[in-house]
Amino acid sequence: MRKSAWWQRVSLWCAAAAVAGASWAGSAAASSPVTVTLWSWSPLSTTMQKMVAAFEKAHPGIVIKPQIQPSSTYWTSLKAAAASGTLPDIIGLSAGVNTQLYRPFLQPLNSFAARSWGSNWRSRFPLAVDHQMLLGNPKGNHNVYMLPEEAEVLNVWYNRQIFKKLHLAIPRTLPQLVKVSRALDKAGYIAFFQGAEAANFDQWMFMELADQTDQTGMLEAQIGKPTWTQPGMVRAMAAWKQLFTDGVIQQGALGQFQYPTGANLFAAGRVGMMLLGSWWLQEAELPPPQPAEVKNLQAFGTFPFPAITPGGHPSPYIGGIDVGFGLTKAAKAHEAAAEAVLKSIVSGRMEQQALNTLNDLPAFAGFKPTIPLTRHLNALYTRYLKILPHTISHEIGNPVIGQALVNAMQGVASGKLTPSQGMASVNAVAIQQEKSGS
Amino acid sequence: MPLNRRRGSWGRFSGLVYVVPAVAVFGLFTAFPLVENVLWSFYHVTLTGKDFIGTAHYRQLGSDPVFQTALVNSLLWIVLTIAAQMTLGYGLALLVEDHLVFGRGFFRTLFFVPMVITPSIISIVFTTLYAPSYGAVYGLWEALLPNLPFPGLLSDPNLVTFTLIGVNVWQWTGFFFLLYVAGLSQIPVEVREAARVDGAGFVPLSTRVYLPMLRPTHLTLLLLGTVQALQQFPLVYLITGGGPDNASQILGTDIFQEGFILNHLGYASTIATVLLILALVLVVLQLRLFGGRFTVSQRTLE
Repeated sequence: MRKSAWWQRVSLWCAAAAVAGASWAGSAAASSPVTVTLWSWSPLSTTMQKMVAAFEKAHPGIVIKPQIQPSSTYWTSLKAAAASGTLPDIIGLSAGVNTQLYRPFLQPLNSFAARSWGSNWRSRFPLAVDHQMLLGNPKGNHNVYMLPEEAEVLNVWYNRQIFKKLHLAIPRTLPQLVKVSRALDKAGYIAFFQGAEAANFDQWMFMELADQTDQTGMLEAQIGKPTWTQPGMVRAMAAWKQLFTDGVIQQGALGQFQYPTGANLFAAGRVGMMLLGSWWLQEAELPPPQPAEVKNLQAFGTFPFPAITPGGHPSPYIGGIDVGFGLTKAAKAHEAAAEAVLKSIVSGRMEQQALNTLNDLPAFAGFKPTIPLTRHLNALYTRYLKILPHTISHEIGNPVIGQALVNAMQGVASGKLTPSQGMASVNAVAIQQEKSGS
Repeated sequence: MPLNRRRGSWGRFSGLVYVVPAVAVFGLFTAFPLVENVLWSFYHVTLTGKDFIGTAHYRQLGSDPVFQTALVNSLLWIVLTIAAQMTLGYGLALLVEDHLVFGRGFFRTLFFVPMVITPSIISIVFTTLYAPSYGAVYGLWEALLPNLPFPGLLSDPNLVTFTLIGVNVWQWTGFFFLLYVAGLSQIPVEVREAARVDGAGFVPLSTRVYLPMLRPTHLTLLLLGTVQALQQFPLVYLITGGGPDNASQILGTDIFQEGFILNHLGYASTIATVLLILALVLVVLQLRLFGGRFTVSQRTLE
């Protein structure tokens, strides 16, 4: 009898626990937030955490699971995820080839953009950014598959303190650049650091030069036309070679990367000049320890690349999309939540958080950092914002042609090829790609 | 009654059941990717599908200068790294084991340390060491040879592969050294003593006694060295990225460049298949040449 009562009591407790558990699970399911997964290589992980916190605070029903990886592993992971059908809801993309590669997995965003920002939504983005959104689309396809979050502008950064110490003026012409470089070299500094192993910085340097000598040819080449052997393009390659022979670019540049080597040396005050971009502003907001020179970027300033032809003008500013985001087809399962996140990334709280770390420039018009900036930093940022609408696209649509250009630049710099031979080799690849329809 | 007959059919098949997990793991993670890779080499592959193109990729190899550079460099890696690592490893093992009275443990650890350092750290260290204008090697060069221009160790297309091979040798010599130390310790004391009594000094002892008796170690290192050289990727990728102008490409980095930068997945599979065939040929050749003589024969001992 006693045994039976004991069993009855246990059974009752179990039943009660089961009912309580079931009802808790039920209520949890009813109120569980929607999870949106997001992968990217940019912005920095710490910045993304702030962006996510800001969004989740305003949207209690949505949880963002971000995964930020270094770009070297990000693209590999993304490729594997696409091949195995496990892409997240939102993916970080660069313009052109990477967006095109994942196009079959992405949703067209035109109607979402029109709903969010009105029918003339494209006018909210700078011209170069707008151009790059569609870069590489098949003829007749006017869909947009990624929306830019941040934009960038490239130019030469220089160490103002070193220049002041050595009584150097900002160079406006190539002979002046050579003279300044020699003075810097004589004083024990690396005059102009170029990590010529880094493909993207080589391409950008070439655009800085070619946009002076044949801007039309360069823009056509970027969309795949074989204009690489035009005289102005060959002249740009000759100027690139001259930067090495005249001692502007440092010895051993072909064996060095812009990041981390060059950027660290520049931040440490050992480099006079370097091709960088608006993203360098974020150094001012990076957590300590920072070299004293980097604090508020007081020691640094910018100027356009000097004129390489007699009587010519310095390089026009080049730039475009730094990072954009696309909605994958997987996001259709919780479309509203994913769209809310994407809208916030482009033109909402998430974008504001990114800008407040000075991550880069806003791609969407009307935004700027709301944190207090020093006078110098504010002047730099404001200047970039003014330049941004007038920048020329810095993206080569076809990676095979882009790689051929880098190979040719390295071949010319090392003396293996003449400028004409280098450009002929790029043009041959461009013709072959054009024929194959790539 | 024999045990297997008492067990009946289970006895006959129990062995097979025990190997199923190993076969399944091998099949899933080794055989399947290998077969899939070979198949992909006959297709134009994109993320969304593939088109059969026959042997087009194999014909493309003949006119691809980057692949040809990578192939030559990979062969150079095999020959030079193995030769240098075996010579240095054997020399260091002789010095430490035969001539050091104190500190053997210290030197064994010291020479092995590079093996446990991650390639990313090695790449940062050597990029800094070799850097012109601020690197330690540059400083040394300026001090010793101030009138000669500093060579572009990582920027000169003619030098870069040898510089990288040097880094590999620095990292892997410790492993070769350790295997030679183990091999030397297996040589009977009586043999050493007998040779010394016969008047054998350092050179005859190390070349006519130890060297032939260490044959199994040489063969093991030859095999492992070949596989290691063919598998090399991180040092080249991290230090030069295969540049400048593809001068330091090896097959591993060329596969990565084609597959993950240029998005030519089918062509990358073709190069991977060539790498697979090369590895198989070299390993089979070594096994054929040296047979199963990975142990010391009685004749050698005698």
